[in-house]
Amino acid sequence: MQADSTTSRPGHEDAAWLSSQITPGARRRLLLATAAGVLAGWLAIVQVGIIAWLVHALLVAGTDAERLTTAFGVWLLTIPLRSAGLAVRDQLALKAALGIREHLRQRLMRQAIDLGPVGLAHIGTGRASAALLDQLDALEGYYARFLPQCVLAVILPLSIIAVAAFLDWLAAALLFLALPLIPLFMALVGMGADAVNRRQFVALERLSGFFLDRLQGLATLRQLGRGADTAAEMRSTTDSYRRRTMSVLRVAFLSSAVLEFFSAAAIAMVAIYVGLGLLGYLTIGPAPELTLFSGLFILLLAPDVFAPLRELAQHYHDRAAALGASRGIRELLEQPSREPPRSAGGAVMPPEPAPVAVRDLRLAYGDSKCFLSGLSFQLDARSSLILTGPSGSGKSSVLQAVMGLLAPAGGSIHIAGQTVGAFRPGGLEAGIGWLGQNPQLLPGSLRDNICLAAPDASEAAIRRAADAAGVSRFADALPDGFDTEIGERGAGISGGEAQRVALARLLLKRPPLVILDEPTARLDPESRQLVLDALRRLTGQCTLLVASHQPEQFDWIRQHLDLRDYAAS
Amino acid sequence: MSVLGYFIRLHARRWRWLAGGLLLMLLAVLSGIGLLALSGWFVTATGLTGLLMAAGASVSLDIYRPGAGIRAFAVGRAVFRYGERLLNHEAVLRTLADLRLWVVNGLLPKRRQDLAQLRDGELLNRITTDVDTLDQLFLRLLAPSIVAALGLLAAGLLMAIWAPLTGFLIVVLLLAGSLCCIGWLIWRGHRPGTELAAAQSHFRQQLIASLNAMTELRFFDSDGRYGTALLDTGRHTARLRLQLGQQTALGDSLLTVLSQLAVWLTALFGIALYGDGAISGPILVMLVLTVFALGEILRPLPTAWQQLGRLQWSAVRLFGLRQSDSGPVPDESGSDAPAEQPLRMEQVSFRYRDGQPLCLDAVSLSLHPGDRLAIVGPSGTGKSALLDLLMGELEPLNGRVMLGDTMVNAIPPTRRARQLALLEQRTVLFQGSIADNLLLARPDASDAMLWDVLELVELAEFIDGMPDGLDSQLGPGGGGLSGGQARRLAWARTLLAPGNLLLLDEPTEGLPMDQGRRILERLSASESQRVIVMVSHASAVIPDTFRRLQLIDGHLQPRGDGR
Repeated sequence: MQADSTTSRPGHEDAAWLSSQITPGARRRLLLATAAGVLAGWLAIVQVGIIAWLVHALLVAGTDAERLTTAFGVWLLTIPLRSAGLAVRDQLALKAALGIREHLRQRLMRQAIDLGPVGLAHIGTGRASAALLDQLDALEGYYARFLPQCVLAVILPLSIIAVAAFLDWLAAALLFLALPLIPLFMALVGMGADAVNRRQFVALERLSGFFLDRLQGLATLRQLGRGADTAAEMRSTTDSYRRRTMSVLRVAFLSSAVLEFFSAAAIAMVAIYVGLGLLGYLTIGPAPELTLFSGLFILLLAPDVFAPLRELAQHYHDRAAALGASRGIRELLEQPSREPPRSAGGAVMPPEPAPVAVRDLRLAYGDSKCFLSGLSFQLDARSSLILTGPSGSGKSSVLQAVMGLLAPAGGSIHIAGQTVGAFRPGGLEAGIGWLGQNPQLLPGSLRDNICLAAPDASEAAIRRAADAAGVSRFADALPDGFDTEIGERGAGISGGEAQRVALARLLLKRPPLVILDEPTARLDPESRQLVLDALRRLTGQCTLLVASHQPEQFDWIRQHLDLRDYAAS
Repeated sequence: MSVLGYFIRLHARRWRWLAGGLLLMLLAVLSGIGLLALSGWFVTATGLTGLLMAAGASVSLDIYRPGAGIRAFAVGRAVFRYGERLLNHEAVLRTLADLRLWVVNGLLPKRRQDLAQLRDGELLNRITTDVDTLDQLFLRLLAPSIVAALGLLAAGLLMAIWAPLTGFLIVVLLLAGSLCCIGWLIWRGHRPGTELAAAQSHFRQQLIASLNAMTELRFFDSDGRYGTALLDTGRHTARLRLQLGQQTALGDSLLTVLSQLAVWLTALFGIALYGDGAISGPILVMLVLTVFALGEILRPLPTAWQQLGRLQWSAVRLFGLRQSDSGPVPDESGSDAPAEQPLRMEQVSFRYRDGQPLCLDAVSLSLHPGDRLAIVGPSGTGKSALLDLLMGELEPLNGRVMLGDTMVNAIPPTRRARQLALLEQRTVLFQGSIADNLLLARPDASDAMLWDVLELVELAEFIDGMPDGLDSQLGPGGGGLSGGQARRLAWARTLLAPGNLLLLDEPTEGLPMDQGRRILERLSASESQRVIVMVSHASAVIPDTFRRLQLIDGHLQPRGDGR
């Protein structure tokens, strides 16, 4: 790749990135797959050669039956060989593509874990999941079909033309001339079609967006009495989009029509050239030397000159999809982490409650604006502190800095006497229990969720934690109790119940440092009381750091810190 | 298969487009076969004639008609192919519209709780994926199969003119062979195919959950067990995908063997027939090349039928979406209840789920024109349920809600909307202009009426300042407005509704306290004849003109002051 082409044509850069993702193992498989494809293509040449020879031998030369039988035998032999070549090509290429995809998936998942919640929130979980799911899947066709076919579309037509040149150089020249004409014409039509394709894509996107938009608000539309009208509106909008899309497709399909036309026209031209040559009507070039064998051979070769190109054209959308997807994947891969680096052989949190010391802390958005500065506090082991302040004053960010999720712009944080960076990955986390305002449960049973941090916990310990967090109160009324599946497939539970499950998870872990971020903000009164009671009992058993804009709920916590006093101006 | 059959029948009303597309597809395929077969005949005939002429025999060959035929087939193949693609895409786009309408019409009578699930992005994503998969049902599966069958038949008939037995044998061989191959693929691919669809869906669900629960996983799964399990699920889907891909590749190559074997057999039989003098040399070549060209129409079959599992999976899921419980569907016929009917709640009890305590316990309430009622209480006590019950969107466990002498949930939604208007707790706006969003509540409203309600919610000045005013476009879900602006626009939409009963669920949510109170006071003063019921957890925003009730433990109790 030349340096200038990468800047002027972003598609090149994406394609270069895509090919740099091919692992050595996948490269070997792709090469073998391509070789198998070439072999199968060559066997096809042999097959049509045998057909032409048989016809010539039978109709013109009057060859004896024994040699005919031999030819039939050789032909029969090539049939499974050629099929095997095709099967090997497809299987190896698919294996290579899936290998590349899984390799990338691992890298992306590692990156998502390294980014952590702060970095992920920056890119958005929707975009991250799109990269990890749909965009990764979009790569399969590129590696499995498009890349091998790219090579085949060059080697096979040229091989065929070389064979044809032996038989009749003029016919070969005819095919050779038709060959570059195709990309040329396709490019001419394609220039318009490309823009048109993009517009169609945008139109289709907008149409699905419209469908989603209406589906999302269907309850509201019905309640407004607009249910029937929505259906009618959807009909008319889809119709108008369809009309617009079709006017676009009429142009876009021209490029494939050109390819189709050229390959058909080349066969027709070869047939007529060979026919007239055989009749002796043509005296130019090698035409007088044509025999039924060479004429028929060339005729049968002609479709195979264009077949690999047609197949490539069919896989062209694989390329477009992969190029588009690669951008989303790279965006996730190149997202910088906002966490402080850890040391591989570093410390682990001690099991007993630990002090937290924050000195002169500065926090900033990315590299730019500082929004909090000069924050210092000392939280002794087993003591509690509550951070207050209006929304946007940086309560969550301070907690994230203490939890090692956000690198401070200045100042220092010591937990159990160590800086965050002195812990090894997972070492700090092992000693922290966290509860936010929007608990996230994972698909699985209530028990799975409670035991997340302690998979080997005893039934009694689970029961104790669930009782203390108020989970048992609703779980016992459920038909499957703790084994009730939650998530998409199971019964939904309310936000307050989810928070109680999250609390039970925390209690079961018994962490020496507990960090709470607005743990009662979205709760119904019953859940709020249960959560607050459990948290009150926790006080004194661990070090407790809370952020809340309703500090009156935590009236047993004496130490308060108002973050408004530390806002950077 | 029966569910898939249902979706195939759903295509029936587009049969003209589909039949046209099929016909052109078939013509394109036949032109391709004709091109090769006629060219082969022509080359052989000219070759033989040329030899005779060289030997001094006086023979002649009409080269003009075959030449014209070859050119016609060549042009025809390109033209038919182009037309086929246009027609089929038209048909697919129409089917897509049909499917989407089918989804919407199927969802409309659902219970409110079920519709509320549509706010979940994953469910929406699933619906669109399934719809997009199913709209390919015809083009990817049915059309290639039908064209292959008809193409085989046509080729067999053509061959039968000269060699009936050979033609018959070859067609039977190819047909039976293809069917066996497809049958094998379906049989072998069924289990991994269904497993793959389930595994992919499982993986997707787990991945999204774990991305959302990143902080939880960091602190409660610090050794990364969940991530490892997730990677294993990913690898499992890759294995299944590879297994399916290998089957397709095998099916592909079996079919290739089959079609080449057919060419070989045709040549063998043809030589025998030629030896008997039953056919001429050019005809022999034509027969062989006809079978040679048939390979192309069989090639798409394995890939097409490999999709059967996925199509079925999507079909079953979409079908299930529509099959799940519907709420009672009120009959749209019948006359409007006269306006200004009192709305009554009689001994209504309600809970969201069995086993939970009642959030409304035998609540009675009566509303008359001009009433101003505010129901307060902390969040999560069932205030929203009370409004939804009044609106007829939820079914009471006991008791009933009456509008005049009609049960409110027996009134069809379009009629009900003329009497009652609800501002939901969650702001729902739509892609389209500001005017479009407002007119949803009252399509015949004049611009002056729109400006009136916008004025009332203090949005008129802002919208007047937008370059396109009322015609300014909003993105999906009303994107482009701030939270407070969106809330007030939804509020304005509710006010525009023709009904006499306004139900406002946390109307001031997301608005500054003083602005919320100001709008409520203005509303209370201007709409003297309308009944206004609001629920709020913030009692400070409620104007003094409102009677206050408190919802505690499922009971409504009077409450005097605002503190």
